[in-house]
Amino acid sequence: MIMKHYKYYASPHDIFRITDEEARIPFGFVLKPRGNNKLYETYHGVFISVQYVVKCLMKRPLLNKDLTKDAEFLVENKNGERATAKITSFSINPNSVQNVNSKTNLPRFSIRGKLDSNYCCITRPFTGEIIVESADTPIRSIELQLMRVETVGCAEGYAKEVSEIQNIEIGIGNVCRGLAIPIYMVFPRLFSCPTLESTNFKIEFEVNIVVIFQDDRLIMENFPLRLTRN
Amino acid sequence: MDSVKYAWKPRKFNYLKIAEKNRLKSTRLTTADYHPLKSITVTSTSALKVKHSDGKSTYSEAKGTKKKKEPEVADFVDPLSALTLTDPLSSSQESPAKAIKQQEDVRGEDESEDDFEPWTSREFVKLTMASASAKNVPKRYQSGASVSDKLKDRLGELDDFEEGGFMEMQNLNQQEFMERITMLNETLTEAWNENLKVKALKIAIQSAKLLGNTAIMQFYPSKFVLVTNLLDTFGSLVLRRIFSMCKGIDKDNIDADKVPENAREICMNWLLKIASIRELLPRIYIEAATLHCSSFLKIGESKSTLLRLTSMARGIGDPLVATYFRTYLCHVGQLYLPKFQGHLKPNLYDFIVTYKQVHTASVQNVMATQKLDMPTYLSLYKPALEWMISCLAHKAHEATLNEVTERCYKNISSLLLLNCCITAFNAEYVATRALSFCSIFNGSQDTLFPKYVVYQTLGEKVVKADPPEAERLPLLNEVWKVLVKIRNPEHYMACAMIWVEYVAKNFAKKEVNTVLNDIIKHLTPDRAFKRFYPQLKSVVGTILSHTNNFSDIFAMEKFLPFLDLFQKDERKEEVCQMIAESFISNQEQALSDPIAINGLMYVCKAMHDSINALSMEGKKTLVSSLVSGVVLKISFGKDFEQQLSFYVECRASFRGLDTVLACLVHAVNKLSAKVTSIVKGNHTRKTAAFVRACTAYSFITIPSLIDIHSRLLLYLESGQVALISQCITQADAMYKSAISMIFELASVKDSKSVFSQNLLCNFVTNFLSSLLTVPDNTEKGVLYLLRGLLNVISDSSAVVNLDTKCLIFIKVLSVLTAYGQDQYIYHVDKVDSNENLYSSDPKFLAEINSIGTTVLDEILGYLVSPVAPPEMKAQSACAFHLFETVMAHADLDDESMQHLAATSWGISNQDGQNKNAARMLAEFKKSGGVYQKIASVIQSQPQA
Repeated sequence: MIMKHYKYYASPHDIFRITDEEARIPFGFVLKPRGNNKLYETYHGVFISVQYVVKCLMKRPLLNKDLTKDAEFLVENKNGERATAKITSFSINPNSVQNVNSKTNLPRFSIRGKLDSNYCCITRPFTGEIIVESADTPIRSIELQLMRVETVGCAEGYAKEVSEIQNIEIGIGNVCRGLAIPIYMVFPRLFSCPTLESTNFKIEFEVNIVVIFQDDRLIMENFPLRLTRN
Repeated sequence: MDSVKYAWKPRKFNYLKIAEKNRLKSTRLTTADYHPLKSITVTSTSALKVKHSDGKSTYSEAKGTKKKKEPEVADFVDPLSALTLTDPLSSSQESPAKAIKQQEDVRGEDESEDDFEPWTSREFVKLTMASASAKNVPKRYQSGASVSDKLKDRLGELDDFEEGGFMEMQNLNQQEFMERITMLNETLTEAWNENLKVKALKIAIQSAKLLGNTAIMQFYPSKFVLVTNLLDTFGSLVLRRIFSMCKGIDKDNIDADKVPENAREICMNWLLKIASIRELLPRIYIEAATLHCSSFLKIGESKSTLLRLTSMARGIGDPLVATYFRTYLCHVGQLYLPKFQGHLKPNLYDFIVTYKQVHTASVQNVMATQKLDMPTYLSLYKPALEWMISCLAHKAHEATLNEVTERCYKNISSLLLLNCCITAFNAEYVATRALSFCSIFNGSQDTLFPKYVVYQTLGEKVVKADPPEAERLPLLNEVWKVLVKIRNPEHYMACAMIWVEYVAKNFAKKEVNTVLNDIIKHLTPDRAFKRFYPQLKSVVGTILSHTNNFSDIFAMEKFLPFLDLFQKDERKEEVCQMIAESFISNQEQALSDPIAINGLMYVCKAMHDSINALSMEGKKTLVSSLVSGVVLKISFGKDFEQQLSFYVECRASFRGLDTVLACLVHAVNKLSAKVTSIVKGNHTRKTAAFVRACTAYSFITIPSLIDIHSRLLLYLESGQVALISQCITQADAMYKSAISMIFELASVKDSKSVFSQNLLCNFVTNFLSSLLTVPDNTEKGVLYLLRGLLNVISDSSAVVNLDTKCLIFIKVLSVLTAYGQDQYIYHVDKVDSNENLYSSDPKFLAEINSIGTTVLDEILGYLVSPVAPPEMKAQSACAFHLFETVMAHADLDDESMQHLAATSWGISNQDGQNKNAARMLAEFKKSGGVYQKIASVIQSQPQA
């Protein structure tokens, strides 16, 4: 846990009363990283969190308890790498799947599609398309899973955890065959941030395209992403 | 006071001199220019500049302008005559392809003549909303609870709802569902107003999820309407909130650059929240509902969102749900971006591509569990498709419509789609292609959609707009070939009803006859026509409204057999009434065609026979007026004999209805008078016989009427007509019957009422005037008719009140004066009245005077008799009448007459009611001469 403190004292002539109940004190400071460190963007994760909090402490005379209040603010880094579009096609059929128990019990299907890029700008939606060319068993749903990959390391070793941020359904019911269904997802604000690789931790993201059949069997295809704010 | 006997002395009048004296003086016109009745012309055309500074100057200026003869140069341009601008519509002659491209994006500016039915007036929307609002939301709370308490209760319920409640809601029946949705709608608005926006969003999400459930498919369209209503509410709430943060932004033209930062932030928050909804259906529904919010962030963003949502709809597997979602997209497009059309075609074409989904196993299984057959299932799509296609077809270029039709048919050859297309396209487009559509239907293999519905829709369009000339008959032949084969009478009638109108509009009686024959053939087995009376009635109505010539209608040999299909009496009457009304209002020339007359008589007899003792008054009046109207319109021109025999036939057929008989008598009288006017009074033997026959007709017919008053009046009229036609004996007979009829008035209910007495008085006055022209029958004595009348009046105290009797006698006095003149004031042409018969024979005059004296005695007898106070007013009025008559008709140089005048004056004023008495006396004195004398006599009388 890394916390950096900045302290700001209000001088008496900063205080001005509007009414007897309300006093407003303007403040401001420049947020600068210490040393050679960079300022990371705000990110709320499971194992890693980057938060910027303003804590206000009001000292009161002896017998009264001091009052405090926290407020979080967001930090976004507008200058970053520029995302480039790189179309990634994919194709899923019984031959291409791995991690299966026995290949003979697989249902017959053929799915293909593309992602418009896996190097994405976080303020723009994630897009692509998926076409179910054929499938013997009816489909129950097609979903898009956004996953966070948090790696925390130290001298002895490192731990890597993958968890789900959000699950967006893009197809429901037995979708029409041969029709291009759009892939569309907006990156959530607090829970995603540009891909971050620092000395002791890494925050990465990836996307799973999941097709669930009526008989509860599912196919998942994984795509690692690189996010940036530009 | 002792009754003084007065001898009646009539005055002598020189009518010619009086007429001469009373004629208005005329002045000759001196110049052609000035005539007081010529219209005032204004010759100046310039605008008047009104000066407000001085009222006087305005007036003088106005006066001055009027006198100007030359028109000044106009100061303003008359907008109506300055049409140099070309019509913007006619100047666009672009090629169709370009037009389609343009249409893809932006609709044209011309918004006039919108026959596009908006969402809320679509049939199924109206029905659903009406039945939803009709249900009362149950009042489960005490009336004392405050609004926020109620809300808390409801939200608490909502929480329970969320757990299992929405699942349960899927299984509710229709009524309960409607109630629930209405309640949810209210809860949504209330939660929003209490700033519980997250709750509001939750409600919207849960409601949208309901649309993913197709448990009861037949209810799906109504469910859709109700839920989307709620979503629309939600969308408008969000939009309003963001609008409230932007001051001064034009609602229709949101400029993203001018949106303040806090509004942007809120908008962004909403969009992010909505984009993170996990399930597809609620997410895209709510994105659609809040479509317009994205235009706050970037210009034109809503349009791209709409297009994106259109393609995201492909992710919905169930075709019914997907189709209705597309309908919702078209609806919000219409709501927020009315001019944008880029999403319409993709929506429709995507539907066409996914149509094959209805054949997949998953859909078929669901249909089987719900026991739905394909036609019923497909009919659920109809409202959605009709909406989508009509959005697309609205003001679309012809090439677009061509393209859509081809697409609809080529890929899936679905009659359902074609049907919706035809319903949505405008009538002109459909009509020009009607024949080709017909061949498409014939060739279609589609068994899922009932064919007769398509033909019905085509028929409706073809009736509104005409197909090209050359195609009309082939189209009819094609269509009818198919219709003939339809076995099911309901389907057949649904189509036949509409196509009959097409036939009636565009073809002559031969084709209509064939069609009628066909309908009869189809409906006769199993007496199927019993079930279709309303439709048959409308068929008759259609034929009537489109055919103006009634001889054509009855010339159709199948028309009367068609009418025979209406075997139930009331139905038949309705139809007959319809025919009669139509005939009366539409037939302009008089009808003489025997076939048509035969037919119409049949119709009228049917109506007449339906009247019996139990019929209501209103119905009798209606039927009487219809029959009279029909009879009067039938005329044989110059063939009077045929006309008379026709009236004789009518009398035999319609003897039950008084009004009709009266009408016939009038008609015959009119006939008789017409003949007399044609021969100008010089009757030949033939015409004389004819008018005598007419008189005989009237004489025979009148006693069959029930109403005595009508009889009296008819006798009078017929007598007058007989006299005009120089049938004197017949006229005598008429008047004699009229006089004896007065006795029968006693049998009339309330014959003693003021109303009846007035009627009687008026009749007798009229009668007396007519008597003047009647020459005496020399065998029967002087003034035989008059004396008969007097006897009757004096003897019938059961009929005539005393004051009425008095009034009548006073009128008789004036008639007697008229009888005593050398030249009567009026005569009937070519009939010698008593003046020529007696030539002022002194015996005749003496006879008149003696009658007058007797009458006068009677009058005075009544006037001096004591009466109860209520009648005193009537008595004074009578006395005053007598006074007037004496002043007008008696010889005032005679002293006894002057006394008579004074006496009657005295009687009329005895209760001192006459306020004008003093003024009148003063007038008399001023007039001088004999009047002054009378005035002095009056004043010398002792006050009674």
